[in-house]
Amino acid sequence: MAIEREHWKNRTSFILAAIGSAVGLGNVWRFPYVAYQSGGGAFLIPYFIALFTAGIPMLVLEMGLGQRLQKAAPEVFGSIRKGLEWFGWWALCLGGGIVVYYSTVLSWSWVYLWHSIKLSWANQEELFFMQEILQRSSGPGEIGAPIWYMVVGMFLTWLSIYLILRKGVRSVEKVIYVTVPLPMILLTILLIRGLTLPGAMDGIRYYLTPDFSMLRNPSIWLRAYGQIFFSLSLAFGVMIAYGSFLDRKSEITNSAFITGLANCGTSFFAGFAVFSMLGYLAKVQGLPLPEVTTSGTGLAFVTYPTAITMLPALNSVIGIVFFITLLTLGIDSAFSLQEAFTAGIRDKWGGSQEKLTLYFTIIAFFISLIFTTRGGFYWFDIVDKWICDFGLVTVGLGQCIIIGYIYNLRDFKDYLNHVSEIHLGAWWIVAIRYVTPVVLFTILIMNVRAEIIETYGGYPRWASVVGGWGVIVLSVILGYFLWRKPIKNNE
Amino acid sequence: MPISAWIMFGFGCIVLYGGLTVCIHMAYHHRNKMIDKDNQ
Repeated sequence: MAIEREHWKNRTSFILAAIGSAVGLGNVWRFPYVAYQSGGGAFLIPYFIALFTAGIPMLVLEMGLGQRLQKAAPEVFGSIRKGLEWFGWWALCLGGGIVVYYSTVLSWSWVYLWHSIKLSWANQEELFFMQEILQRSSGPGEIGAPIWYMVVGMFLTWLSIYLILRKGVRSVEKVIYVTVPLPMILLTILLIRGLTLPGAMDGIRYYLTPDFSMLRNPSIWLRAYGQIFFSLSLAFGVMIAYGSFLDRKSEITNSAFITGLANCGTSFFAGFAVFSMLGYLAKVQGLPLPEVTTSGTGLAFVTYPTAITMLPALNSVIGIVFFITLLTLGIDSAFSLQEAFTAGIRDKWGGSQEKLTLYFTIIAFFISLIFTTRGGFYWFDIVDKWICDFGLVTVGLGQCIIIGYIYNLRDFKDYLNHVSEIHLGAWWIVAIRYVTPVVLFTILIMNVRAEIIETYGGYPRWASVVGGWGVIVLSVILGYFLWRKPIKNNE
Repeated sequence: MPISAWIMFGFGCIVLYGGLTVCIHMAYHHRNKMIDKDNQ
């Protein structure tokens, strides 16, 4: 159904929205740890090579496809070859799945923001997170009822997403001018606080001191590619949707470079905020730094709050700043995933943005309640692992193959060079056709092999079949259903 | 902090923030060129 497409007011709005989508919680809680574990400063070499040979080329590809075809992912792939529309829907369904479980972390952040006022976690951080907040059950089989304060956090998350998206691009444009720079300012506050503490430089030394011998290990290179691929919001159809809101004369390649560099610049910067605080924590606890270094939810909800408790002053203020940083980092990534999905629905069936956003938000809210139960943490962990390690890598691989070998890539490159400030050379074609697919295929094989050898996280096999493979199969079926569902007013 | 850590710090800053500065400069330069073109 043809409806008039909304467009970004200006290029700054588009770039900020793309940066907001790319920069998320992973920049703060994953990159510093991965860098530290993978050769410290030496990790920057494979990381930058991955950025320029896979990350930015894929960003150019996705933004360019959206801008050129003025459509969201399903119609983009459908216009390349009719039967491929389901592939676009599959990507959007996986993205929809991510926003549902990603909202859980935002829900925890709301709860922790409240507890920051009184530092309720003080001196029992791990126990507080696992027992008092999550009230974790014995395993994924024991789900229990939703926990009321997590439901409140979840409600606030989905309400925020609804309010941001209900007017589409118009309302997103207003929000990103706050939610993109604000976490940078807050990270700067955390960095200054961290650097003024004893032991901070020891932490930074651990973060930056290079171990070049690690670069001989191929898994470090794969880790760098994985980090780049997951942190740029690639393969969810987000950048295709955001690109489709550009008008046809808009610049692409330089915008992709700015987005990629800003994303990695934030990760690098966040590493200093995290490691200065970890250095302080190690010093006051009298422990070697590797013993206090964690990533993911452990860093955000246990280790960092521990460091906050031990601060000499302004503990609550720093707690509030930290959890607002997490919320503002996460919310842009969350709403971009939802917007990609609703853009696909609007392209095919039309409908008002406000109604579609409301329906999606209500359905997603109720599904996400599973993660607010006592067994929710286990399901969150399983679904996250499978969607990222298997679903997303497969979609990324498929996208490279479809665009690299079925679409006319040389003609597309000429088109991008015609509208863009930075001209693409043969390197871009090599990156899309060879480098990225080979790396993604290797990552996929390694992930499947690891799962066959040992079940992830020690969960029972039935749980990984239901929450892992089950979710992947469900997204494929849902993608197929959306593809086959006819357009009402077929012209 | 060892000298090698400082070198990697400089390397990271030059690639990321230097690269970002160059790209933003290009975008502004291009915008000004377009405005001049429109005014002519």
